[in-house]
Amino acid sequence: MNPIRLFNFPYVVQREIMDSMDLQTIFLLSISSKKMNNLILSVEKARFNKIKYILYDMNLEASIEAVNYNHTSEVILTMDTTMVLGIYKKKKLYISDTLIESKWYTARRTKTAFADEVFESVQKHSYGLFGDNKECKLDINIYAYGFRLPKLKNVSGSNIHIVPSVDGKTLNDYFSASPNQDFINLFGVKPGKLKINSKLYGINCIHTFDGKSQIVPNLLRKFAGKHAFMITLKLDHRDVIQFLKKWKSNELFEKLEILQVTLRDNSDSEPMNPVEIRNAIAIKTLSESVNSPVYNCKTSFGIRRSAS
Amino acid sequence: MSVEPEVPIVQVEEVRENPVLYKIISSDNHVFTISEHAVKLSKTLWDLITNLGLTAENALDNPIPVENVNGKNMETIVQFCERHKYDEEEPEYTNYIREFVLPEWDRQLLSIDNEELFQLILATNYLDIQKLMDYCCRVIGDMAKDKTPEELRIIYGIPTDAEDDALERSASDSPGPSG
Repeated sequence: MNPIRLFNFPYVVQREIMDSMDLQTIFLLSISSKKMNNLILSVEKARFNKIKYILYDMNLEASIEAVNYNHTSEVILTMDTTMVLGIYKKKKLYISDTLIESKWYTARRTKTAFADEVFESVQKHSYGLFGDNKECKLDINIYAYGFRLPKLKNVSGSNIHIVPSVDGKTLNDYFSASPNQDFINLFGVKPGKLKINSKLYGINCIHTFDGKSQIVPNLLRKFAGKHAFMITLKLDHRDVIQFLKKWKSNELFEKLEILQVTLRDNSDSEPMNPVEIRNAIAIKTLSESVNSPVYNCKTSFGIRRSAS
Repeated sequence: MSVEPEVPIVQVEEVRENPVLYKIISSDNHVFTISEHAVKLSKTLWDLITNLGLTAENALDNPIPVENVNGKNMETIVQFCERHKYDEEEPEYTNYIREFVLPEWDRQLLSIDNEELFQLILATNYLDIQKLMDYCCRVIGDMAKDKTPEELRIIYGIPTDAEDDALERSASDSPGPSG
């Protein structure tokens, strides 16, 4: 059958045709040629302007979605991560010169995962469609060894839950691409190679579950953001005393408004002695007549979307 | 005591059975008859009818020539309009993408060769029939489902970047009208 040549239609018809396509089709169509990419850009500009941010999501399957200002969302690309599924099983797909084929998985049995390359290549290509300043969010919730976080730009918030752990070097690399993030929810960090001046410490709001009690002491020394919520199993009272002294004296933590550490029950750890801490830093109880300041802070990743 | 409705329902049925009819002549001189409700689906034709001042009395004596649409496409268009003339008006869509299910009857009607579909869409665009345009575009959009960019290039006749570049080079190399 002869092709139906999109370029031969009048402009208004081209727009009607593209309006009838889902975003995943539009995205794949934009890869077909530069000229087509330019046509899509001119025809679908209004559609792309409705996008608030791009969500890079890696859970049971990997997906990239456009979340609109009205909280509806559209899939840009989605694939099964544990096997190369469906249409791409025997076909090659190139995005920004990256071959998306058998690389699209988080190997459960092997030790390599390549989803980061796919996310990066999609972002690179999407600059030509959505512009290079579109806000992004990353939501990763997986079990994988050696998982490399994608070096995405313009990330405003992240939810990183990698089992068994995510190492410091991976976080350094991740934050080097998007240093000005507003929010992160972090699970299972092995901070061994985390740089002293890592941008992680400068995030506005951090939530972390520190099962191995490794990142909390670092945060108590270096956190430069506004809000920190930490859950840990162990906490040395000397770290707490040192932190409180530096905060009180304005030596550090100038921007800090709220810091909360929750100690999970753990029979192995030494019990905290609050009296010792109180005595060390001379805590005073506020008079009831003094109004405590009120701070607003983020308590969740803030993804609100529904299928459009 | 039951109250009789002011306008009996039977009147509506009578209108359906005895509609005002218009005559349309295609570019290749085929003559088609179309009811008033059906022709209203085409903004272009209805504007023409109102501007020409055609009425129930003189409509059939004044056939409307449509130079840009041939008989084959006009036949499809008349069938479509007659089929959908009593459809409820579609609500304005506020979000991408337009959500509707393409009815089987229409899918069958639009199961035609790509070249025919192309010509039908041009005719639909000229006659400004939004519903048929939506349906035709859905058919074209559905061709792209589950396809790779490579396959999309074949389906939609999209030249590769290299082909576009070569075309551009040959266009710039060839002498212009004065050369």
